[in-house]
Amino acid sequence: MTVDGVEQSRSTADEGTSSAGRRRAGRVVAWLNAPLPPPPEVFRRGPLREDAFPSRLRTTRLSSQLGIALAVSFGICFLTGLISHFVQHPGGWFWWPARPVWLYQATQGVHVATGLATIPLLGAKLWSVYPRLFSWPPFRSRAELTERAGIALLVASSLFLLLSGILNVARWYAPMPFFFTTAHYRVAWLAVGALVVHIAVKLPVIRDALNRPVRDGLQMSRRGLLAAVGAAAGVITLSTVGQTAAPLSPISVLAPRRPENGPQGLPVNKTAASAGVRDAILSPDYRLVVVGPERQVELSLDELRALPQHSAVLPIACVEGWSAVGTWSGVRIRDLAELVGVDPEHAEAEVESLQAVSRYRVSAVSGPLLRDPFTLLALQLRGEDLHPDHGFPARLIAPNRPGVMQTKWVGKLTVRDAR
Amino acid sequence: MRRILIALGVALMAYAAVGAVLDGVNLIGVPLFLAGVLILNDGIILPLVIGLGALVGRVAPRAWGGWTRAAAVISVSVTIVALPLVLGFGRVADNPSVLPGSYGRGLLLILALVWLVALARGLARRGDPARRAGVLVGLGVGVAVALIGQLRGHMTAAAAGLTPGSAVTIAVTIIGGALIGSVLRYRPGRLLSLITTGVLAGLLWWTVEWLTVLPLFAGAEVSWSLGDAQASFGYLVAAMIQGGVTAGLIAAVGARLPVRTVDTLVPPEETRPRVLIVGGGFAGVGVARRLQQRHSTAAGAPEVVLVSDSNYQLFTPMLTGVAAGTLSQQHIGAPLRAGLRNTTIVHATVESVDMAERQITVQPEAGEAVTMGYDHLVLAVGSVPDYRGLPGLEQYAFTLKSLADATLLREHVLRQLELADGERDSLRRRRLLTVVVAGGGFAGAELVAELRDLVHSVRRFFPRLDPEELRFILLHSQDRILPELDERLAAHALERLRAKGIEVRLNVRLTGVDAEEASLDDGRTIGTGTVVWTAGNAPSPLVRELGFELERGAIACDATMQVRGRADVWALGDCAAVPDLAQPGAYLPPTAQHALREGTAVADNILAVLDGRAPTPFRFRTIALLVALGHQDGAVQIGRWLLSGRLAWALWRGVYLSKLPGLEKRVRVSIDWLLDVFFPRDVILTEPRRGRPPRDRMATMASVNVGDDAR
Repeated sequence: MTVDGVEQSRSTADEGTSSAGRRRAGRVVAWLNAPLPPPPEVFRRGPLREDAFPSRLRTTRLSSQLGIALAVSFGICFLTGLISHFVQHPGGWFWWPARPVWLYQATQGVHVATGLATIPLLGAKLWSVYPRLFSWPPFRSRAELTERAGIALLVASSLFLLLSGILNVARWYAPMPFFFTTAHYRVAWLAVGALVVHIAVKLPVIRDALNRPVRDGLQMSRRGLLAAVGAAAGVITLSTVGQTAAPLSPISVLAPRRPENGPQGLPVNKTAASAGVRDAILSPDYRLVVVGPERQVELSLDELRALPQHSAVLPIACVEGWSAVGTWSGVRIRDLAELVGVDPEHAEAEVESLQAVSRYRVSAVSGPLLRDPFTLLALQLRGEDLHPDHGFPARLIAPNRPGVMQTKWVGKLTVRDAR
Repeated sequence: MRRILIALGVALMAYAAVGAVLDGVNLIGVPLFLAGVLILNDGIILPLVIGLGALVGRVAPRAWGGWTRAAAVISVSVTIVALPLVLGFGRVADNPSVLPGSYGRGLLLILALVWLVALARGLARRGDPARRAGVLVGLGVGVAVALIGQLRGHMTAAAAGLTPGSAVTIAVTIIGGALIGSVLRYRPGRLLSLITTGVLAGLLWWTVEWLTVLPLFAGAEVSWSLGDAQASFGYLVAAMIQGGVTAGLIAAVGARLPVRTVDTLVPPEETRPRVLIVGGGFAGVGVARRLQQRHSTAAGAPEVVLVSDSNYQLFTPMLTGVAAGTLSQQHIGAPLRAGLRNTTIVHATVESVDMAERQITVQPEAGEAVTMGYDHLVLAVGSVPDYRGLPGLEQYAFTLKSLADATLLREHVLRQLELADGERDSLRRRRLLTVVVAGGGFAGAELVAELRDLVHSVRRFFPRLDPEELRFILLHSQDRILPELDERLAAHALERLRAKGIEVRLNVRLTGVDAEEASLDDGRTIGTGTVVWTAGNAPSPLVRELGFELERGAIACDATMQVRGRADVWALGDCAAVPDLAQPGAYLPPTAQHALREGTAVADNILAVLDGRAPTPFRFRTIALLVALGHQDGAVQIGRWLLSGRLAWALWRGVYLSKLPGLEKRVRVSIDWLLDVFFPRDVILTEPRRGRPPRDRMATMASVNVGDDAR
């Protein structure tokens, strides 16, 4: 297949470039495809033996079908992951609506659920091609070596994504010697790139395997294995998806979160104590500073409570895949913008937490969200003052937005005219 | 298209790398983790999973293979997801909403449910329609019980709607119903025992459901305490009634299930190919069992007919035990009808085979001959003793190929003791007390040791006999016994036999036997009334009658066990010359180890041919050689590993006990062995005055013995 691929790229060179360039490319291809001497047979032991993997279930057809399923699930994860990334890093061409309010909840729930359900798929796929790891000779040409290196990269990055995802969902950061968010994002690009190359190289094999009818193996048929993998994905999904789909929560015995479990019936990611804000938020000197282009207003908690109060039923949807819905009430951000003389139809805002250090202490609220009547500086949850862990005295709550950007313990709101 | 994709992929990877650098991604940690997960997966997890798969393949019953594998796939996947949660390193002291569940319990619960489903499905799949009917009935009763429970709950507790807790209870109750149904099996005229089993199954399920699964789900502690039991006493009664009702319904349904009749002896229907197996030894039963396991439930599965002259499968390795009086004779035979429920058993001898018309004519013991058609014929007719034309052997020598042989030999030896006890003439007495075994292979070596043990075990009942006069002689034509065994081990075995007082004479052949003595090729004679021939077997004479091409007297076939020149006739076991692919020019030895595995391979090959695929050649290498040398002594060779003495003897017993078909027989043989430790062997003679029946050639042929050689 490698050789095919490289021949294809040679024909690319043939078509477009000058004859000198063509010759150079031809030399490179010849160098890549030159046969290399086989390694001594002495090393052909253990798994490198012929017939070391006797299962008749491993067929190209099985690998292809699993591969297609994986391409779909990786595609879903990649797209939903991109959405999450861009929502958190706004700007440029990306536009994200304020409605429906559950959209982010859904995309991120799908991202995590699909990722978890991919585990048996990837496992079965790697099982089905495992003997190829020990193919003999290990490589015949430099081109084949390159392809195998590419596959190693694909396998490693796929495993990286799933494992780091599992660890992050379980909030077990110690085994990961890196910052999860950026590494997960960048390795996703790497995996998708390697996947595209892999699909391109294997396309004829896949097409051939899927068109040719095959007979099934003995103890467990190919369909049986696929069904088992599907069932495994189903069991994983059912046992975890309750962290975002509340009705399934009782049977989701492996859900890392339960939507109703936490202070005021809502889970918490960072507590007031661990954020180091307890003194600041409980102080009677607390003031919310609203900064406009021309003037600045300082509001005490009682003054905030005296402003017109509004309610909204909105989910908190964490990037970790869990979500929970609450009834929030407080002051509209757009009212606060008007308070400092900015037209909320053309405004953007920056919400700042009282937290001293945190990657997420500041979040931006842009056009559609700022205008939205559901975007609140919430003072209450379910009719009670916010629990300190939920952001007392005031937190941002906006529709269709990741939980990390629903800034808690808000101390400062800077509003600008966006025109 | 492809080159565009490749270019795009490379560009994406480059973007990833550049972006990673610009983002300040940890350029040591990330590559380290990438390499780490690769090694973890390829070096540890996948080898473990593949090992687990191999283990499942070995341990799980064949018919369950798929379901156990599926359960294993699910278990491994769920465990990977659950492990970080179970370990719970992500928990933080001040935030109880992080990882609030009890994940170890959740994981156990999921695994338990998955394996219960696999178990129920495996039980339902294995075997016959009666079992499937049982599962269906059990499922129905389970649903009914769950509904009744729900209705009662509504009436008493006024709980509205389906709560998660009640959903779990319903699901578990229904699964339990199916499991109870799957363990109950209808047998005509056994209503009471069926109902008793049902009630017991209900009790057992109550401990699983009400004392284990439901508390687990509710998050309570599983204590199995008396208090818990008392609290759910009502459910115990309900579960027992459920079991009893299930059993009663199964009896009602079972009585209506179609019973296989003799009508199946007419030529096969067009849609269902018929595989006709001749021979009920290891090889023939191996074929039938495998066919049944792989296709018991599928539509279009071949119909399997097994023709055998005995209605049981003889466990030949334990024949010496019967001859030595340690085992009861019925205990080493497995009834064919019990072991092969989806196979039509025809108890008859083969008269003729018409391969042009694909028909075989068999003669039942009484009544008219029956002609049956076939699509595939399997010949596994075994071997008979080969006396090499030596004079007097057919008339006077004993052999050890059947239960009758073993019983005759035992009674003969004991009768000699009875006669010797009153014999005044010393020459005649010594003749009575001399046992000669010809052939120092496995059968001969085991037999001479066992017979010696038999005689010494009962000697105390014959106080007038002089132990010095008891003689046991093993004749062997080569310079060492047990030629299949490693030389050192064989030498050791020889030493042990001699230490027991057995005379082992090497490089000597039996040349003839008469009523009073055995003559040897070194010119000497031994005065004896007991000569046992274990020095040679030959394929059943039936193979010659049928006109196949022969190879060393056996049916010539290729490595797929297809008879040469016949795509629809297969031969295996002692009656076939199957080429050994490991040693060109050699043939596979006639042992039970081989016959069993050849049976599996032939069944797979027949199914392959029926499916339009090519048959696969058979490869197998002897796993182990085991020989028992009488009381708590033996020799074992597994590959290059040699073992002797008590451990080898225990291994012999363990291995063969595990290979004995059927739990019941295993229990019976174990009890026989246990009793033998405490009590002397029996000296009862059931037919004290009758001689051996004539062994004419026709009789031999008619009783085509399908038992294979002892190993």
